[in-house]
Amino acid sequence: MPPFASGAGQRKLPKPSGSTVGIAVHPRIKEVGLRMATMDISGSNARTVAVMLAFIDVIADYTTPPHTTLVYHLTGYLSPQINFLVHQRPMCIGMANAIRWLKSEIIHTSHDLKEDEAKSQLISKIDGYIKERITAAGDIIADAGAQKIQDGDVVLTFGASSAVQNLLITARKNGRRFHVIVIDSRPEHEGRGLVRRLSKGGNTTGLSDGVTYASLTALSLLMRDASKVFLGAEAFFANGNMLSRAGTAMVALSAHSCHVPVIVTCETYKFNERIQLDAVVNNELGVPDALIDMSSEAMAQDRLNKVCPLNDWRANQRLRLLNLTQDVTPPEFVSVIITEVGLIPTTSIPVVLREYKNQI
Amino acid sequence: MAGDAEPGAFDIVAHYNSLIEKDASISAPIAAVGSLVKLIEKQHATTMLEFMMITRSACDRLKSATNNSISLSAGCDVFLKQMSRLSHAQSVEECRKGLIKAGTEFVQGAGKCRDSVAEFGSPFVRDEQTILIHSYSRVIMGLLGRAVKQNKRFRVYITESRPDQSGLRAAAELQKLGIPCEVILDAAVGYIMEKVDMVLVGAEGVVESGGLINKIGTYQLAIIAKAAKKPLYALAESYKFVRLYPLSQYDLPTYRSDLLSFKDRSTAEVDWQAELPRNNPVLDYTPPEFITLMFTDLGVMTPSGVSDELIKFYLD
Repeated sequence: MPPFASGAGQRKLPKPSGSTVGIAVHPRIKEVGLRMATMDISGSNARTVAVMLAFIDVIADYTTPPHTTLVYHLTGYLSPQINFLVHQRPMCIGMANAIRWLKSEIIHTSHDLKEDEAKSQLISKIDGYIKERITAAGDIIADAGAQKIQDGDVVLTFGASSAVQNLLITARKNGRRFHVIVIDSRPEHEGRGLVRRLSKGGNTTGLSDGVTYASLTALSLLMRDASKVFLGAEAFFANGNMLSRAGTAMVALSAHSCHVPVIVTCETYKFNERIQLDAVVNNELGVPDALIDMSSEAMAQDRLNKVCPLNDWRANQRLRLLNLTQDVTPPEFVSVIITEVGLIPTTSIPVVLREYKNQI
Repeated sequence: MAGDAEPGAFDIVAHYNSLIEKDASISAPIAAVGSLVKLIEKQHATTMLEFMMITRSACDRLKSATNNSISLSAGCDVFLKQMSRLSHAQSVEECRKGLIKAGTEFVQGAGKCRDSVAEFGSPFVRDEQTILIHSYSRVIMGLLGRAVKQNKRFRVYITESRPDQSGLRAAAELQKLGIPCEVILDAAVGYIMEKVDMVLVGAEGVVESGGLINKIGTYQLAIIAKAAKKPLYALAESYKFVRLYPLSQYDLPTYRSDLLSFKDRSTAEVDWQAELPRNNPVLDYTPPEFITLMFTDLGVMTPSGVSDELIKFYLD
């Protein structure tokens, strides 16, 4: 049986665990969770920042119950909040790393601190984490990545990565003149947003040398014109495999076969000690209905009774729609990872993980 | 920039050049650190900020004043990193003393580096081997000299290595050591590769990808060695590790767009021979997938081991 054939292609949501009962979910967590569920907050960085900011409010509003201490009680109090978030949408790896970091910070808080002091210490640490590992890291990555763009380059990118977008805008501000090819794919069409944001602002911040927008099906043709490929990553595993938006592996493979360097931007907080060999063992399932063609043209044909055969897929027991949202790119297709600690090859991820572990 | 030298002040570029002239065996990063030590001995900054600014601008002056900026910047980077580590010290004076001590030790230890590369690498040379080397490299000479002292019998092919023909110098030295050697044309590398058991190359700089930057011709040598499935070993002292990550031949700090570009020559009489060295690059970049192993003073390591060492050094 092929993978995923048993499920109906439906997103399986974890059951709210028993511990949720009786403990109110903080309104800020509810807000962030629901906005993530509706894809109002969707990028890995945006989600992590939103969740960490929400935790600042949760901790600020928290009071330790009598007969216990903050160090013992707070992690238990946060668990149902986290469960609620996971229930809304599975965590991305960066977010999971950030939450694991927060829990270990809570556990290692000194018992001698008064509650107010402990709370303000935690809040400032979360604030520091956001600034150091995400915001400032993003700025460093944009600067370092922009250095890699030279005049006359043809930069190809896939989908919409906020890190790649910042990098391209920085390079433009530095006076580099280059052409951008945005490769996009169904069902999310995230690249359209990138094209809009890149062409905004005319000659000063926009890319006056132009943007080409094309579908993933045109990839092999356009790759021949590209001189560099820039991609965003959702995570890197210890073996160098990259987890990213579905379709990225295809772009990297194509670049590799055309001998075009693949440059990936990734903050180190998204490095994961786990190893994942392919995209089947773990993936996030998207909404299956997104695969049905909802374009105006298709709708018009529907009206002419040429009904899309997928429209009532639920009624057909033998038909399943599978909307995988992530894929895994093998390390040999990635030339370099741009991180806030410098440009590193995929083989050096374990070293970075080890160095950060030693610092704690 | 605040770094412009005042008249009468210490001229770091002149000092660097005199070091290189005085001692032919000194390499660029060592001379750079030596000059920087001299600089901080002579300057009298009173605040940490001023101290760091003066040192940084001296590094920039050095890098821009010489044509060997890649190898030299490795030394500057190590020095600056050491400075930022020591900048948490109590006072400027303490930082200055610590830095002078560290820098002097670095310069004194440099000679030992080359010896330990030879020590780690010489077991790879075995009796009856034919070795191909490229250009002239002090560290390769050290390794082969050591192998001879261990009574190993081997033959060496040396590329002529145009345009400076540095291979001839290597041949003369090896001949003195009593090693059978022949000089081959750079164009004959493909012809000779089948007869070769291993290839040795030096490095101007070893970069973060695990690749290396070296005398022009190294890259094509490495491609042929890989195609012929011959091992290629790169020899480099750890002070040649540079914080660079080239993505292609044209992604190096020494890149000049006028090199090998097509020029309008429709009317003029062209002296092609004279054009050659002027119009050609002196360095190229060899990516890590073409390198079998690196012999360094830290030990024998894979190319990815080099980037691990660099990250460890610059991350903490």
